[in-house]
This record gives sequence, structure tokens and C-alpha cells, in this order.
Amino acid sequence: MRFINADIYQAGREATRVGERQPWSDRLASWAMGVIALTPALVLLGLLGYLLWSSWPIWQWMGWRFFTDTRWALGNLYGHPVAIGGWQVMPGAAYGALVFIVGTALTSLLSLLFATPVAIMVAAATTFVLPRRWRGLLAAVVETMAGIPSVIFGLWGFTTVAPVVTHAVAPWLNRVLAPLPFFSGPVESQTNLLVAVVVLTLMIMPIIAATSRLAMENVNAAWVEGAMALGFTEWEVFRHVVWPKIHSGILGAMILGLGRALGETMAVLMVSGNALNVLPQNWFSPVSTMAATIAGQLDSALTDPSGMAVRALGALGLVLFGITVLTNLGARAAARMALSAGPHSSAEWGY
Amino acid sequence: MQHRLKSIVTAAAATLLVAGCGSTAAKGTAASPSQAAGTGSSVTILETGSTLLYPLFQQWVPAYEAAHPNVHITPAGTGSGTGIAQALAGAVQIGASDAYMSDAQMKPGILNIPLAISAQVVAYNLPGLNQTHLNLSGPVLAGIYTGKIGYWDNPQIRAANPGVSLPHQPIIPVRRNDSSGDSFLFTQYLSKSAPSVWTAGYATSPSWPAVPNEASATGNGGMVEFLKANPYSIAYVGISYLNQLESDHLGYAALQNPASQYVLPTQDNIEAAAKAMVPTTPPDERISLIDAPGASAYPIINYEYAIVKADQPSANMASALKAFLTWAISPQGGNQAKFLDSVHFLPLPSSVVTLSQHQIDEIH
Amino acid sequence: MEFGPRGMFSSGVLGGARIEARRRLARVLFQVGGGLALMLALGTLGLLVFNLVKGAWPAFRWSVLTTTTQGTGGGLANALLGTLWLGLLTTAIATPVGVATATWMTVWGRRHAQGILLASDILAGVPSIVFGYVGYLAFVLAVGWGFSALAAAFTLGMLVLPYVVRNVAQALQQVPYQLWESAMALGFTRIRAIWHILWPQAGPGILTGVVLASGIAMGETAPLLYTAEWSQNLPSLALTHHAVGYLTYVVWAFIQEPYPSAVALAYMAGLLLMLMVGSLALWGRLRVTVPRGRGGFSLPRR
Repeated sequence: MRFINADIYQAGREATRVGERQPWSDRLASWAMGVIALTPALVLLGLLGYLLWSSWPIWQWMGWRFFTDTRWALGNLYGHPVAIGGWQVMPGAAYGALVFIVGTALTSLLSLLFATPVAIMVAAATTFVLPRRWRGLLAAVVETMAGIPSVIFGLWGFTTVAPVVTHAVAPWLNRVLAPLPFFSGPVESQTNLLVAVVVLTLMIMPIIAATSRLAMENVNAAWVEGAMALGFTEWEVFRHVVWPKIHSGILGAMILGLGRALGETMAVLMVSGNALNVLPQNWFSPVSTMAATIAGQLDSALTDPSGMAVRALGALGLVLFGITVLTNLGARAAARMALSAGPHSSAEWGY
Repeated sequence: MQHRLKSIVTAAAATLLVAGCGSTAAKGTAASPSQAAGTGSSVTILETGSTLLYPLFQQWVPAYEAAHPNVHITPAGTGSGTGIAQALAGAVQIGASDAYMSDAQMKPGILNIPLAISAQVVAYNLPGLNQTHLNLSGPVLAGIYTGKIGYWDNPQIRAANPGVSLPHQPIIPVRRNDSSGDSFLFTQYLSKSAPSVWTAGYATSPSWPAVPNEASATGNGGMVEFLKANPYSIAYVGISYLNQLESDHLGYAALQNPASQYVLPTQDNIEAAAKAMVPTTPPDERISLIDAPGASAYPIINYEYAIVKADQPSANMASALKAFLTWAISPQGGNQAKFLDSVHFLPLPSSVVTLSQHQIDEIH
Repeated sequence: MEFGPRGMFSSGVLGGARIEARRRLARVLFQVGGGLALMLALGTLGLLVFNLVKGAWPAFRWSVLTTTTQGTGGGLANALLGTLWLGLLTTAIATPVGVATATWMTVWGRRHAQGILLASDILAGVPSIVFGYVGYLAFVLAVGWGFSALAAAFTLGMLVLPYVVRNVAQALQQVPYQLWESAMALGFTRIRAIWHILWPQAGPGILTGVVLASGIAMGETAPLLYTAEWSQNLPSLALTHHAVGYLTYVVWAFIQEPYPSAVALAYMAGLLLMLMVGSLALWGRLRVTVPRGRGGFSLPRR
């Protein structure tokens, strides 16, 4: 959003009270609230600083191997710490996050791939296809879905989606996709990449749909009415009038959905299988993501007397933090493009 | 401020209860938070950790609280590693653990106090064979958990189970995802009984070898749930979940002991193992009871520990903690058969009670 | 820019019927596709709710709301009150900060408003487990509050702050500028105008925003696991060193237990959460008229 009213309020002030000093009460209030207004930035910097400080020894010790090694081991906790590069480390410990990075990328990108088309169709349906009086209500319902706590998706995924996907869908997929290397293979446990992707897809779909819908609604109403008047069908309006205007809005929505999928913790923790030390062989393999690993391994890490394991999770947190910040900035950039694309767009309002 | 918060919470509680339950509201409000905050001398002891010990705490707490109305105990089953870590950090008073602390973890003034004797079973879901107790040994289990033994009809498993027709199905080895005393006990058994196959050592969060089809679960309960939902999986489960395993029609194994006998986790076999190992207990009571000698000794038994800081923040807390722990290890208190039998634990022998009491007396 | 389907206006009589048929087909496919997608979304929601109700059925009894959790059975009074208590505390921490931030942005912010909003938006995108990790190390261990309501509320407070900021800023922007202008013309100081005009006018919007944010707080799990931990007792007024129970914990921990009583409680907790958080979100969604366009006017909805 461009913060519009601030400008108007300011302009108004300057127009009416040019050169006038604010009374002490206003200056005090301005100063006090201004300091408080730094809080979001300070919290952000605080998080970044804490993660950097916490993970520093890991970068010094593991370096790039943090991104390229698959082995994540706390070492022999009943042994005695050894000194590596000036830091006390448990013997045999290694912190390579490749498994979690790959797991995060696979779960979030695959779920984004599946969720986006559905979400766009849902958004289009609630904007163009449905009878007018149903649109608002159904849009509200879809948006409410975006607010369902992730642990509930985890519960549902664990109890319902996992058995169905593993015992009904997977064998069928296996037959259909048999020639593809990654998309077929033995189905063993109920918690695996495919289940995680299905649950994540259902989770992020409403988010993408709600945000896409905002982008669609913000296309100039006059153009839509005009096209309708010219005899365009809903599809033609969508395809030729709306779609060219919402590319970047959809992109922004996708990036928001991606951000949610990247950071999702509980649902993934409950259905992914939490793989350690091994990359997924196919999409029925257990996987693990960075966020789920932090949540699932923090208790283990706390038993490491050298403290390295906690720091390694901090390193994971830092990587995750960095990726989500970049994702968010990407969404803003896309939304800014959307803003310049349409006269009344403010697609990024809905987060 | 305190007063206002209190009235807000009480009001919220009352509204909710009235809205929720009509006539039973009066009963409900009687237990509202204002009561706990009102009595000055009441003590809340936080307990967290071992999910193996958790079912026992669930029985202990109501019994103890009934007799000591001003003491509240909050148990939580979060895994032994959490128990150790949180007790060390001072976030809880009692960290429950199936594992004793390592030398590196130990700090002065930290006590590892055994509360009871427990055991671990190796359970599986083998459709059609769950009523059969398979014979499994340390080397076979080490092979399974390192990925070297991949199928149920592996020759090594067949050799130990003559006459059992094992299916040609891939084995899903399940490990704990949380830090767990059960992982500690299991990997310690593997380390001792199959040192050439299992080289990853033992810990509450061991360095698991990379096995492509491995799976993970959280808590002992999660292990049982996983077994139920996934045929051909195998998992290690604390004995306090034995009743649950049986009612869910899951199988559990007879394990090979150092005398090369396959023994079941019966009370007699656990007792035989305990008899052999208990006399070796040192004053700080940190000792592995794995692989006891004797033909009938069950190989995976252990002390269930309360990890406690000797130095407590207040005298009030220290005395409450001492009283509770003393009650817990007493044969007339928490070590009564009525508590232990349902979780298949054994009471502490009197020599260990004495040692534990010495440690409890250090709390101040 | 392309206007209309190719050949739409130039088609001869011969091609016309075929083109019309194709147009009709595309339209029907679009409608069917949209309908299917919508059915998938609503079906998901329906199945989810059905699943929750079905799973929670064995725990349907009034005592679930009035008794505390005992082991893996009992009731949810502790978790329900704990969730409300944490939501309240979180709101109490995040609201003043959020309202002050949004007010400053609106009244004095000018160029800096964009920067603050940027920081706030980025904060909104940080995964909740990162808050949990830092919250545990900072509040539970370093500050030394132990597992406590305060550690949990501060962690959640950081998490919901950006939502409060954005929602409140939105509400403040809805106040007609003319009101502000009149106040200035009458010689109000800004602080008086804020107190007597801006905040009261935006009051309902601010309330909605804050309630929506508290709903987000109450639905969180990951930041609480290592800050509030879990308690079977009703939440006490002690802000530090007392663990707090909450509904999301029950969902996460009890669904993995093999005991039917635990599983039913997990579903029940999920259902209660869904009712609380879902109804808050829906209520907020229906109350908020999302501002469109610039300044004090909204584009009429099609």
C-alpha cells in the first residue's frame, strides 16, 4: 500500500499552519509515538541480530558446508567436547542443512504449483462466475479459510489426508506416473512429501485466492462493464480484459502463498515424516523442512552441552528468515507493479 | 494491576462457565484461578520430560495432590531430552528422563534421582504375525536401523525365527523425532550388543544413520500411533505403553540378551535383570542397566530419573520438592504396586531407595 | 492490447456459428472450472469441519468446558482459558504499540510511514517458529521468565504487531479527512484531535483490527511450544515461571496419542479453536470494508 493519508494529512497541515510551531504537547506526543513506531523495525533488527549472533559459530565452523552437506548429527552427547576452530563441539557432530533446504523447496514449490491454478479459478469464480449475491459471502468464506490455524490443517492432514493419500491416491498415482522417476516409487509410511504437499496446497490455496481476488476486483470496473456491454462472455472478459491487468497481482499472491508455505511449521511437522540425513528419493519419501526442523529439533538441541545444536537451529532460522524477507520484498515489488498497472489497484492490501 | 488482571480472568472464567454449562457453573468457578493465587503458601511444581514416565506421573499427581492440597504438580510428556534441558535451565523443577545425564551435561548440584525401574519393548506391526513374539537381536535391529536389513524376510531374521513365515515387505524403522530417553536406551542396547554394526553411539538424540525409508514419530504415544497406521513398521516403545500395544493388537519382540537367550519383557525377566544390575549402582546413580547378565534377564531396562537441581530458588519449593520425591520413591507412596503395575514398572529395591533418599536430602 | 477474441467482429457468416460455438464452449469450461475449484475449496472446508465434529463427538459433554485436563483425558477448561488468557495478554502488549505506531504513521509519519510499514510487513512474513526460537532463548532463558504467560505473550506480541499496525492504520485512514481538517481549523492540538476525533471515529475499526490480531495469536502453536509450554492447571495470575495450557497444544500433542480419550480431546480442541478463530476472522471480514482507491472515497463494488 502506498501510505496515502499520511500525505494528505501532512499536506493539510502545511496548508493551514505553515511555519507554525507545534505546541509542546504535540511535540511530546509526536516524539513519544515516533519512538514507539520504531518497534516493528527494532523487532525485525532484533530477530536478525539474535539469529546472527546465535548462528555465528556455525558459519565459522561449517561455512558453505552448511548448505551442501546432508548430515545433521548432534554427535556423541555422552562423549567429551572437542575443540574445532576455537569452538567446543561434540565429537561426530555435523550440521549440514541440505536435506531441510531441499525439503523446504520441494514442499513449498510443489504446493505453489498445485495451489495457484485452483486459487485463480476460485478467485475468478467469486469475482465473475457466481451469481452476484453469492460472491461476497463465498469470498468471505474462502478468506476465512486462510485464517484457519495451521495446527488444524496438521490434525486433518495427519488423521484424514495421510491415510487417503497413502492408501488410495498413491497406488493410483504410481500406476499413472510409473514412467516418471521422481513421481513414482514404493509407498511406505503415511507421512511423506506427497501428503505434506497436499496439506500445504490446501492451506495456501485460500491465501492465494483471496489476494488474487483483490487484484481482480481492482481492475477498472468501467472496462469490465464496457466489455460486457460489447457482448464479451465472462471468460472473454477474464481472459482479455482482466488477465492482462493482473499478472503482477497474481505474482504477488503467489509469492505471499509461497512465503506462507516456506514458513509453515506445525502442519508440516505433523505430516512430513521429519526425515533426517537423507534426501527424498521420490515423492512418497519422508521429508523435512527448515521450519519444522527448528520446532522438532529444538528439544534435542537443548541437550547438547556444547550448545552448538541450538546455534545450528539458529542458522536454519537465519536462512529461513532471509528467504522469507526476500520473498516478502518480492511480493511488494510485484504489488507495486500491480499498482502501476491498474488505476485503482491496491492488491497488496490483503495479506 | 494484579487485582485488575485477576478480576478480568475470573470474570472471563465465570462468563465462559456460565455460558457453557448453566447449572454446573458454581462447581466450575470454585476451581477458578483466583483460588490458586489466593493461598500464599501453595507451590506449583513443574514437571516435564520422558513420555515413558508420563503415564506414571498422571497417576501420581492426583493421588499426591489429594493428600497435599497446597501443592500443584504440572506434568508434561515432552521427551527426556526436554526434561534434562529444562531442569538444567531452571525452567522446570523436575525433568523426567529415562536417560541419566552425560558427563558433559552434568553440572555441580544437578541430581539424577531414580524413581522406578522401567524397561523398553521393541514393537512392530506385522499383519498376521502380531500375536507371535518374534525373536530379534541387537545385530538384527542394528541392521534394520542402519538400512542394511531392508526386508522382513531377511535371512538373519528368518534364522532367528524358525517356522515363522515372514513377508517379503520392506521394513519401516521408526525413530523418535523428539529427544528421547527411549532413543538413548535403544541405541545403548545396539551399541553394546552390536558394536560392529552400530557405530553411531548412543544419546537421547542419536546421530541416526541415513536410511531412505526410515520414519519418525513424536513421543511414545506417537510411536504406537505410527505402528497402528503403518503396517510393516518397527519401533521401540517404553514398557508403560505395553497395555496400549496389546489392546491395539500390535506385536512385540523377545530380545536377545548377553546369554544369547531370547527373552520377553515380563515382570520376572525384568526383575532378573534388575537383580543383576542394581548392586552396581554408584552413589550418583548414573548407570546403564542395559544387557544384564543371566539367562532370563531382559536386556533393555533402566532407571527412570528425576533430574533436579539441588539448589532451589526458595525454601518453600525445596521442601515441597523433597516431600514429593520422598513420597514418590517410597514403597508406601509412589512406588506402590497400584501405581507401578499398570505401567509395568518395578519398584526401586531398598538399596536404591536409600541412595535416592541421600540425593533427595541434598535439595535445599 | 488486444480487444476481444480474434476475429470476433470480422468473422464472416460462414465462420460465425463455429466461432460462436467455440466461444460458448470456452465460457462453459470457464464456469465449470471455476465451479469445480470453488467446490474443491468449500469441500475442503466442509470435510475439515465434518472431520473435526466427528472426531470430537466422543468428547461432546459440557464438562469438557468446565474440567481441566487430566493426563490424556478430562476436559479443556485449562486450555480454553489459557488460550483466552494468552490472547488477552498478547493483545494488551501489542495494541498500545500498534495503535501508537499506526497513529504516528498517519498523523506525523510522512515519508517515514513507508519505512515503518515496510518493516512491519516484512515482520508479518517472518515464520512463527523463528519467533518461537528467539522467544525461548530470549524471554524464557536469557530474561529468565521461565515457561510463562509473559514469555509467550511477548513472543506472540512481536508476531501479531504487524497485523495490529496494518489493521489500525487502515481504520485510521477510513476517518474522513474533513474531520481532521475541521479540528485543525478550530485550533485543536494534534494530540487533542487524535484523542477526541481520530481514535473515537476509528474506534470500531481499531477494535476489529485488534480482535483479528488476537485471533491470529490464539491460533498459533509453534511460538508457544517453547514459551508457554503446557499446563494441566487453570492459568494462574502469576505472569512468570508458570507454564500455561492452550488449545493448539492439545491438538498437536494429543492427536498423536494412542488413547481414544486423548484423540477426542485433540479434535475437540481443534473444533473450539476453529469456532473461536474462524468466527473472529469471519466477523472481522464482514465488518471491515476494505478501503479501495485513494483517500476518503471507495470505489463502488461491482
